[in-house]
Amino acid sequence: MSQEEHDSGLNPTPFVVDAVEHNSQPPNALDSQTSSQPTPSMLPTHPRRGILGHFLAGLGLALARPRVLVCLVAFSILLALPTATTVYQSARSGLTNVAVPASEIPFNVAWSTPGWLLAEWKRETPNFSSAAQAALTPSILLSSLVGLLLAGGWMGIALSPRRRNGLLAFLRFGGEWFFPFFRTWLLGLPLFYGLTWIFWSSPFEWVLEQVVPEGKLDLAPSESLARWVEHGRETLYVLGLLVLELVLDLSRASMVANRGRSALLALFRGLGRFAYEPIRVLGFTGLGFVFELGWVVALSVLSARGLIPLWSLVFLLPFGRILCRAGRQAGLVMLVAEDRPLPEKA
Amino acid sequence: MVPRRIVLACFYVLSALPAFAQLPEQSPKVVDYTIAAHLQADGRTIKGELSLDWKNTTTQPTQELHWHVYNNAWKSRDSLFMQEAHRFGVNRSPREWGGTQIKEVTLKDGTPLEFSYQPQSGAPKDETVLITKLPKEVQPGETVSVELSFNAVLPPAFVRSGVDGDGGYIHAVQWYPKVGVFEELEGMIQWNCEPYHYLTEFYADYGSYTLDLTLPIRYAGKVAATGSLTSEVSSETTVQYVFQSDNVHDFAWTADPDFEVIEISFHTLMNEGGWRDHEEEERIFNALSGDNRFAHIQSVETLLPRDTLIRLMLQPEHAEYSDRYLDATAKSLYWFGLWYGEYPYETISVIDPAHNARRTGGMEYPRLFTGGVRKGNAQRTLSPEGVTVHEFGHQFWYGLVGNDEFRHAWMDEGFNTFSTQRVKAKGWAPSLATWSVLGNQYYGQAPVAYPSYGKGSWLSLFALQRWETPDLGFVGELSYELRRNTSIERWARELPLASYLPEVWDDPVLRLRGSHAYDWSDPLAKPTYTLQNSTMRRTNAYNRPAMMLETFSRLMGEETWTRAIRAYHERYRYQHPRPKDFFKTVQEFAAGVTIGDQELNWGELWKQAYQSNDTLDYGVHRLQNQVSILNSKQLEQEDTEEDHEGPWDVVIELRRLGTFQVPVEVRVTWEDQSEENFVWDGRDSWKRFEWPVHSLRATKVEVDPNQRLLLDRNWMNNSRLDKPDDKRALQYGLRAMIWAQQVLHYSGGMG
Repeated sequence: MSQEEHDSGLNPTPFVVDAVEHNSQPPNALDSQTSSQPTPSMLPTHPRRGILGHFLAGLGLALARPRVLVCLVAFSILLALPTATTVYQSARSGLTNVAVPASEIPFNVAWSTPGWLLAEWKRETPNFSSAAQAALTPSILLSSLVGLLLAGGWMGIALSPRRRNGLLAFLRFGGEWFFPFFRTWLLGLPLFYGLTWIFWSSPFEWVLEQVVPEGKLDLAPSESLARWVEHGRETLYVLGLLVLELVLDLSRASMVANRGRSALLALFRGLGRFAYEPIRVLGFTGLGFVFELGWVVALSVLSARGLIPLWSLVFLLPFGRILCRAGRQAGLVMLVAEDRPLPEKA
Repeated sequence: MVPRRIVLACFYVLSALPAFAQLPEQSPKVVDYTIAAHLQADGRTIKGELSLDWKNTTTQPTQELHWHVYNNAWKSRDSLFMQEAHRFGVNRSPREWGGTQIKEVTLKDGTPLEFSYQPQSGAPKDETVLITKLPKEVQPGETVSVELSFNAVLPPAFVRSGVDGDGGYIHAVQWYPKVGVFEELEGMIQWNCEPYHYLTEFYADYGSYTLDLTLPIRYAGKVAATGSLTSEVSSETTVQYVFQSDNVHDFAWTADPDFEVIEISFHTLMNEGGWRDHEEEERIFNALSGDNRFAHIQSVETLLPRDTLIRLMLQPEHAEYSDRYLDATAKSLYWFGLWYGEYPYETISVIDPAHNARRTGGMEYPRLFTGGVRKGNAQRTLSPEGVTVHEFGHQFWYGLVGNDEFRHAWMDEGFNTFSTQRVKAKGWAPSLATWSVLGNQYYGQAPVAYPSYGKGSWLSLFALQRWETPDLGFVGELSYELRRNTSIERWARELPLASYLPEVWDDPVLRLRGSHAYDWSDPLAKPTYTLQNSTMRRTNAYNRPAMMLETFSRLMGEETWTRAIRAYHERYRYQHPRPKDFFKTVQEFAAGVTIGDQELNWGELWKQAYQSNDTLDYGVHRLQNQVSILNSKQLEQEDTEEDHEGPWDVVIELRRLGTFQVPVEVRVTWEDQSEENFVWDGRDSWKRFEWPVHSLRATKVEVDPNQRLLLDRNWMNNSRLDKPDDKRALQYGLRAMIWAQQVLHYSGGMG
């Protein structure tokens, strides 16, 4: 979009790939069209879009920052590397000297493998699992915390009057919002505990007792009933988790949108926002997941058919997934900020 | 009158024929039961009147009858079964107690008999063995007739038997007092009538059974039993069935108003299935036909099993599995019949247990067995095929060859596991590893298991699973579950389509090797009920003996094995063989078998594999290709050893890492892909072989390259490559990388 178009007062297009700042209509641009001071309702606001529009706007924002994306892909490789190298080292000592009978050759361990070979290796390397898991476990916490930093980066950029491209700007926003977000992360822990307690402890056990003898699914009069109950519980629980994650994301988005620092207030705002338009925010999140899943499925199929090499997934999968998450986070903050006055250009 | 010379001539000709010219048609008739049973309105109490004719087939008289009253294991915690379970740390008990009350025991003429329960060591109040005193001794060859009335209350489904608790499914097994086996045991004639042990199953004599069964009318047409149905009479409220069977050593029945009953003939399934293996039929015939011990096998057709009616009693919610159950039963009838001799009864009943009585699943009784399956199984998981083949297989190993399961559980479970895996290998494509979401299975296997930490592990916080903090003084110990690892979340976290190994196939025979993961604390020869624990029972009864049999068969070759195993089955059909009987058969058929130039010593093998606890483990310790000393000058002129074209001093070292000794094949593969095979006697703890000044490098050394020795504990050390195949590690590492990336991406959005 050109500066002239901005200045003309036209609404910004929802598909903003923004090397230039787009939410930067200076108040004087409006001043030139009106003779009086603007009332609050007349101030330029964040555009109201459909959920697809927000998501695509978010995607565009992320795509416009290839350096950030490349760094995040590199980081995803780095984070997974300890696990992968632990497994590789174990496989190197366990699998590389084994002669396999001609009847089972050729095989490719990454695709189609005789189970006995893997079973022998893992049996003779009893610490295989524990070593790989030990390598992975700290990374889980680390990635969760780094996830806050990245969310701060994308959300901060999305609402900044100047949408800078650089990695440093991204990290600066991430850093700026990390601790407020971390407080929401901490606030989330009891909520997760509460949800888990509801579904996997006394409350749901009480429900089970109403449905099946002694509350034991093994004693249900039919397997179908037991499956419905069991899978219903699991589905509801996972939906609950999804809502909680979404509320926490909304809280963070509202923090950024309101320039607030109170995690508790943000949590209430997030809850309020979810309660206000649950279908829309769930739809927005679901849309992001659909895009992400589509990317994963497409790449998996291409790779399974030999159209792209397996190693390319190491780069392509995280690229698409990071992009989709960025689109979700940036889009979400734009969605939350809808109809709010645009911030002044820094 | 026939001249005496002709009679004598006939006698001599007949005597000259092999001792076991064909399968026995009839079992010895030691017992003859007639039982009238009436299921009461509560759906779990059976009133029974039992009449038994018992024949003393030994050379000693007896003045007692010993009976199994297995159902009393569920009478209280005082039973030996419950006590032993408690000792093994298992404290589960039936939801309601059951038990059998013996009301009266008399001779057929009405003379009352004294009876009492035999106290057991460690369980003085156990009531699973009943002893009745007879007024006079039963002499060898004599028969005594006894009548006994009882009330049996079955428990809600618990360890093999019971009811579903809602008045529907009833699985009546070990439900009537059953007389023990009077036989030679440990050098003397005595009653072999063990109480119901936690680790063992059942043992009884062959004979005839007639069951007159009266049930509420809702069960009409929904009953299966060991015998053939000979009469059915219905009234308004009840239905009365009479089932009869000869040549069996137990009698079970089951009923469920919900059963969907499907009947089909085995021959129909075989002829329409298109899975007959004519090559294997020919091979077996050729293996047997040259041997006069199998003179009764005249043609391939005589090998084919007779027709049998398959009755599938299916839970309606498992309708999707009906074809798979039937297919598996038919294939089992075919393969077991082909290998060991035909299934001799008119019917086989396959029971799919009710959901809330799953614990009655996966069990065998003569002419009737229970399977078991869950909804959502993928086709190539071989479930319910696996359990169907296995439980059917017990018709042969336990049903027709009736070993003592108290002492030698491996003689049915081991032979049957061995046979099951072979049928699975013949009958289906190898099963594939699966993962599941919401109870539905999909193919694939995670390269790494996602960490799961229990309560008390602070690492669980790192994995965002639990909040765990120790007692800090001002705040006590905290342990809160933050996230439950559910199948949906696992799917979302790991995205199996992208990150799992898509196809991990399972050779059913090699799968047996999984039991090497356990500590083999007891030799196979140890009586089952004295084994260390249930893990040892699983190992020693199932996979380990199956591996021993597979090792034996691979050592002696398939042709010899075909003869040996068939002879064993034919000779001991309707008998009670002991381990030595099997060994004698092996020795007879496999005498003189060699591996290379080394003759196998079967006595030594048997001793190591069966009687002792020796570990078998051969490995390649070293493969070295060195520039030949004679050409060291040449080497000096070359830049690296890589440039060297030979000759080479080739050295390999083999190790015997266990105490088990057996001749072992060795294969050296040279760089021109030529192979050199030889046999090492396997006696020394290590052995070096050298090829000085050899024109080629050795690229690969393998011990046991044909994978004959399934008992070899570690196959990872069985080979060594000159240049290790790093590609495999890279491939696996790559999958692990992709997997870890997905997991960490997911956790990046958590919290």
